[in-house]
Amino acid sequence: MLTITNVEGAQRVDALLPGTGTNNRLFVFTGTAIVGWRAPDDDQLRSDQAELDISALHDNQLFNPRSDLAMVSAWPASLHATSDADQVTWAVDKATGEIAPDGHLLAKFSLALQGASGAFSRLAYEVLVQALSVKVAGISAYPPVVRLAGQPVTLYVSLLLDQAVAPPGATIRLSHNIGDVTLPPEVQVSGNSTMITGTVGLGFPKGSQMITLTAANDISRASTDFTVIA
Amino acid sequence: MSQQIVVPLGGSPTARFVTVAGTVDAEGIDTSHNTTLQRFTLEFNLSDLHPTALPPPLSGYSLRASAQAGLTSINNSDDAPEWTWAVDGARTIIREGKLVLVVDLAGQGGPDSEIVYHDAVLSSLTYQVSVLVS
Repeated sequence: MLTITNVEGAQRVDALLPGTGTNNRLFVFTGTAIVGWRAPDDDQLRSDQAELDISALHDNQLFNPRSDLAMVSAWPASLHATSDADQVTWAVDKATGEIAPDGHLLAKFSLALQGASGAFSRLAYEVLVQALSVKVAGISAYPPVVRLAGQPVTLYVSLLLDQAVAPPGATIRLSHNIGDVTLPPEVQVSGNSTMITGTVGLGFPKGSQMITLTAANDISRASTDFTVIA
Repeated sequence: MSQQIVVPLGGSPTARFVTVAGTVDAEGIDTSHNTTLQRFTLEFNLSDLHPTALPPPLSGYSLRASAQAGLTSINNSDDAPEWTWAVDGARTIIREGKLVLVVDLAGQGGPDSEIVYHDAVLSSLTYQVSVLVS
């Protein structure tokens, strides 16, 4: 496996696409990877692999491995050879994209190099991703301070997504940081909606404390705090 | 040869997602007179190359662009002891309301070596630029 030491000129564009399936977003990532692969002093044709974590290079943008599609293209950007070689070759034999289970977009390249004293120094890439997921833009809880006196107490929780969900909707997971609070594990945001507000049943903890609520899906998360005063 | 895709976006009548691509001549990139590595910067006015997709003035819009360029044709003889051909990077700038592609190149050769093959038909660099105009 070749080690890509750096990427220069990492650039990104993304756009919401209108029409059916309003979740659709197109991402374009480009850059020049520094490969620095030097050929040994023989004329043997060599093949090797290289891998780039596109997400880490571009604002830590994550994707959904079950729904998003990636397309990768790449080509040699910096080539070097000397007259020591009888045969010279530089090749990008294959370029593919893979979304890892943790949401990181990986670009994988199969490269070839031949020629004594030659080098394959830079690799240009372009990655297109059609994302079908929505991101959780925010979560809020009201009231911010819950006083247990005067039961029953109602807590309103609102989720905001960064764009409307395509029908039939999307599932958003809920979690919290306090062991003895009970919350529904997930909520369903209906199709064509960007927001949902509802009441949640809480088993309140003993004593006064601050609770952090987190809403998440495979590619994003958002949190908010509220305080319970017993 | 140039190609372009323009996707209108919602929210504003002028919002659009544009991808332009093509091949262009890189005149002046001739490394045949020097055996040391030389660097060059070339600029291509994309608004002139794609007047319907990227019409000026673009200064009043919010632009996000992602650019890439590659070598399409190189040529040399074995008279040179060493050869290098490189696109070190590609980016865009706005100048006088027009979108300009800036490409950093490097080349090394010797007698009869060129980073590009000058020909009436063949061009030297390929590019693809995606632009979000909003």
